[in-house]
Amino acid sequence: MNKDQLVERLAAVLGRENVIDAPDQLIVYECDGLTIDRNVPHAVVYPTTTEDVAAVVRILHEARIPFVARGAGTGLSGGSLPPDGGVMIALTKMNRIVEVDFRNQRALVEAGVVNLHLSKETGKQGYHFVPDPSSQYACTIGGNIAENSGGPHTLKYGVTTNHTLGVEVVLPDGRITWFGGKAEDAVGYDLRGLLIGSEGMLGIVTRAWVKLTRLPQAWRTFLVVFDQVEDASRAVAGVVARGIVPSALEMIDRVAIGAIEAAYHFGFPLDAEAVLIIELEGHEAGLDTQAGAVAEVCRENRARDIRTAEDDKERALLWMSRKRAFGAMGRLSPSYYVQDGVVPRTKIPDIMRVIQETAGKYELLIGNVFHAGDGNIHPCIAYDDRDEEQARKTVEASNEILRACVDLGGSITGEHGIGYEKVDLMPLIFNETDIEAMETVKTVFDEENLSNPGKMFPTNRSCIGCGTAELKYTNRQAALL
Amino acid sequence: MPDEVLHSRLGSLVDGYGPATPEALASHAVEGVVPSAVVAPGSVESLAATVQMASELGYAVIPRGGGTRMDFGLPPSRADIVVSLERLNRIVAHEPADQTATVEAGITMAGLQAGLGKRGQYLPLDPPHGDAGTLGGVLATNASGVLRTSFGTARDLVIGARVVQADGTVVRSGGQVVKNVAGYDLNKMYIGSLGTLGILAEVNLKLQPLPAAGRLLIGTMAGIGEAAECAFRIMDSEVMPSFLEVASPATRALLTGEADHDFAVVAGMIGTDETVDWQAGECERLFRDSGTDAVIHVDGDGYDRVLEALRAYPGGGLLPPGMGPGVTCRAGVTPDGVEALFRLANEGCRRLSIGCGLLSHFASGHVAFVFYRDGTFRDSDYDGLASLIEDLRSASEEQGAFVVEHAPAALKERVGVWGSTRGNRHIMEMLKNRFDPKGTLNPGRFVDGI
Repeated sequence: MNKDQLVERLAAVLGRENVIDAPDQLIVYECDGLTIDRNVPHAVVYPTTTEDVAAVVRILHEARIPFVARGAGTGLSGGSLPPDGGVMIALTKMNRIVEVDFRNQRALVEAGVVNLHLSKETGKQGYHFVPDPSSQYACTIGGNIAENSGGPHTLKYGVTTNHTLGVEVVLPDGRITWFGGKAEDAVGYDLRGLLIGSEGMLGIVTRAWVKLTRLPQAWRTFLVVFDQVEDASRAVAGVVARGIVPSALEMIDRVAIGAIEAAYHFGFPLDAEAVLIIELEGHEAGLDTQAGAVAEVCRENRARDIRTAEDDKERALLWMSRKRAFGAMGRLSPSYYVQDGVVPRTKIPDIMRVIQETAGKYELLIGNVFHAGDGNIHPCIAYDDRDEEQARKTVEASNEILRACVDLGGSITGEHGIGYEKVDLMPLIFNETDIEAMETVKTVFDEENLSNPGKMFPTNRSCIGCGTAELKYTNRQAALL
Repeated sequence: MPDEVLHSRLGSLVDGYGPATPEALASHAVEGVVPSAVVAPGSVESLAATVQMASELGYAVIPRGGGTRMDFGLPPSRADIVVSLERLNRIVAHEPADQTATVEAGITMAGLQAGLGKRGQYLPLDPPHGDAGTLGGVLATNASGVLRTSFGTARDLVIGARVVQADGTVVRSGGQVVKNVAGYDLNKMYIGSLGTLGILAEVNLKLQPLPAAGRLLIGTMAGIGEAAECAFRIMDSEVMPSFLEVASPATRALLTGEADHDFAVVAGMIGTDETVDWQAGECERLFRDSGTDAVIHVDGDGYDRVLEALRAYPGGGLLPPGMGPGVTCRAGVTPDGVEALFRLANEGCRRLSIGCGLLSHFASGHVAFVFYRDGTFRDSDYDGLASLIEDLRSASEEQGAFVVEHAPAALKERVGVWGSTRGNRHIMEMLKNRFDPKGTLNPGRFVDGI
């Protein structure tokens, strides 16, 4: 089947208006939030129903054409980077909240529903959908499921997999099935749990039953100011060690504070080395006692100032500033590269030292805005994409930081996924047997390797265990030139 | 293969191994299938070597933890070597400041909680058979208890694992950190797989600080309709209880000592004294709004006692004197499906003149059924029980699932165990075939005879 025939067959199913194949239109889809890896898809289709998705997948399966599902394209690891010669299945037109069942505290949504829309829709009745990635005003719940997304408030309440009851899936051969459903405890292997976070490689999620959670009665939001990063890092570990589980515990360092303040004028202290945003949620009764304990830990760790968000408006502005921090980093340099790693939370002081040293060694500006409470770092490296040397240093510095995460007992991704970006870093944390087990799962679902191929698994298999794992620089270099 | 070969191989792989007596082997029979050997490896490496040998020589392996749930599932199609994890019982690492621990799967739940408690933490997972049962057994069966309302099930608490695969290789999934999306989430697949894809040998856990205070309120309700309405009212309130149970009269009698025809709603709160006080006050108001004045507050030793009963009951462990052993089942439906199952079970049991204990972890839609009579069930009871189970299963499967957990073999033969895998049988069979092509691990016991 040549390209024209393919487009014709897809258009016959979806209508011509739901199939894009003009080169000038396809260029929009060449990458997601990881902009340095690019690949133009063969065509982009916009199904509006599960049956449409299944019909498209059957055509592609029959013709052995690879495909990738895409939500809002906000992913940061190239998870929806189109495969060579592949078709992109965009789910943004499947954006209906099908059913909100407040009584049972769950909702049925299509994959293309924007994360924040569900919380807005249910907020009036006192409920929300917990996972709140920083891109939540744009990203889709289908994308959240593919990546098992987190967000600041997942510290207390868990990530996407903990809030997803069941998923309707179009398997890579076009069959439609449900893993889990509206009720919990489906019998057999937990295919639901296996699919969530599988980065679109085991099938395409078209609808999902997700949990709705009661909004807390009260909260306290603090901005705590430190003169030393080290002190802020110790305060994070101190709060957790005290047995307090904040709903969010975020750190922002001086570089990022400068960028955010310039963009959003919240009133962050520009001379601080680090600030923590600490949010406590729960019942009004007892919250101030807990707040007192948090303040004590911060003061023990030489906090300079502890400010409290006065009202909902100030709290909202504080969170808006935090969640759009990466965008603000764009003010510092022509390009920036956001990393995602994890360390045990007690190792935050260690990894912050490594990041500072790495920035010095490579003469790079690195800002940090991250989920300190669960050890999930996001160093954001500012660089000039026209400067090849700087681009190379950026990737090398990233590698060094991620290696340090692994050496400290952590992981190479906490919420952005392996995607295309980190395939060759997988050997840092998994050996060949571990990866083979994952590949076995892949073959059960997708024998032909059609659903989002080229992701997750290392490209250079001879390299496994030889310790030379690194981010895919050659592709980068080509993209950057 | 003669048994001498098996014994000599096991002797070389597992220190301290010796052939078991016929009586010991008989006591390790699984649903009537008697093994040829019982072995307890002392390390993950020795466990792996044992499984590798079994795989190479074509023996079937039956993993065993505390032995409390060995009758769960279908009878094995083969059972040669029972591999006990009892010696793999160490807490390998506990990092209180990270709220994580690494433990061997053969540790008993009681041993685990005691060990973690020394440093002020616990695993918020409280299934039936909690004391003698091992962590590995709980994970293999994905058993849960009242705390699932606030902390979820094992799949929400395990962050990493070392698993001995069917060919004896050791594979690692997940990691040591509480947030991690590297690779497929294989932990989920192994948990609840009844050891048919691999044997969980060591797991990394996400922990909670021990709460300062715990209290529960028991409200008495005239009927299941009122009880369910009350539970919905509490679910929709700002109380956010740590657990929320709906109990049938027989279960309630056990909790409060009053035997009559009333149902009960049990709401539990844990946390600091201040939040627990506020929640209890608010909860009491909600109970009264639901039309009951009979509300009991329980804390201190009483709290532990009632909680212990709530945990043990669904396992059939607390039947009235002279009763049992019971037939136990569980269903997973939505909360608004609980009432219908209670009615169906109560009416069915009245018709059959058998005892009926019901307990629902209401917000998660989990329902535990305990059916019993004086002495043991007889052949003449099976027709009635089978038809009751079929009715409950078909009502449950409209939304979710229904599993027979503990029943005489003859009854299981008639009604099966697992119920429907809902169009996913093919994928599950493929997973089993690829991960265990020789059928080494627990052959025949899982869904669809996998």
